[in-house]
Amino acid sequence: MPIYRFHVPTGVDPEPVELPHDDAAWSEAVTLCGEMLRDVDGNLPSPTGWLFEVFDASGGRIIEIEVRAQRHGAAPEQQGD
Amino acid sequence: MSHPLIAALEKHGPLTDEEKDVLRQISSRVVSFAPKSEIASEGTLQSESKLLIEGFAIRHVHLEDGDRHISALHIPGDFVDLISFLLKKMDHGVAALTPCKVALVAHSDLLEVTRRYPFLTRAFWLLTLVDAATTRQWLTGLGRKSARQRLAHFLCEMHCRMEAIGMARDESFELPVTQEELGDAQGLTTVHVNRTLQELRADGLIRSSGRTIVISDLQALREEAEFDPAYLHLHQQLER
Repeated sequence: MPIYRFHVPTGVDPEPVELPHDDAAWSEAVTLCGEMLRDVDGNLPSPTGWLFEVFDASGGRIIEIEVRAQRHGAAPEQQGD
Repeated sequence: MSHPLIAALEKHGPLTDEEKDVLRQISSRVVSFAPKSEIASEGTLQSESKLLIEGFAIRHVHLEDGDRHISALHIPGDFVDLISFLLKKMDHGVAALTPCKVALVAHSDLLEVTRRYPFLTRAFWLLTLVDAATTRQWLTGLGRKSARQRLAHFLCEMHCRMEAIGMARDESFELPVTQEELGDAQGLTTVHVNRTLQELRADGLIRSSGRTIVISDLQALREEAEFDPAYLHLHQQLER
């Protein structure tokens, strides 16, 4: 199975992982993004720019997922607790 | 080595010699299962309940799209499908994770035991209640906790259960579970499991080499996980 390398926006990058094909890597990346967004439990700083990337074995970037979050209005610096 | 079922039940109160004899008798038929083989398949009718003597097993349910969810990890001494005594048809499967030795306990024998031995009956009942309590903890994690808390909680639970059967020493125990299987149990992608375990290692909470987990800072790991072993009811005493 081909090897993929994931880059995540916060914390530690996972070790390279074997997945059957690019579609599986896409599915894994989308789900991972959702899981990491859920893990912040509503406490996402504003502004936030998250970039998830997946590279194939030759180092080519095959996936890019961006999460951009910005509060607008009276108190954009205020964050949930 | 003491009989795993006797050891498990005696934690909840002393057994008479007659009760111990009957437990030995009903669990004398032992069969082996290879890793990945089904011990009790989803959807099948059972006429015997299986007691795990050696090895690790999982409880799992498969979805139509090929995904599966693991809802329990079983260790030696666990009566993995005691519920099939009354429920008969498996609403989930039990599969071997490693080579397993399993005692087959005929439902006809359980019927006789529950007719004649009220204390053993209550002890069996307690085992199913603890199973349910453990499932509630897993559900709470799946519903409300972060990946880090879920994995930390799982490691605390396994440490506690392995210690109770004498299979953990110095905060160290075997955990023959792949990261993919951990993901299937904790509702996480394999890559998320991988990076979260790395973070727990980097933060000095755990160490691991191969399939051995060493908890480096048990108190800190328990605090992170909000782990309180009370739900395992390890020393709950039963009235005679």
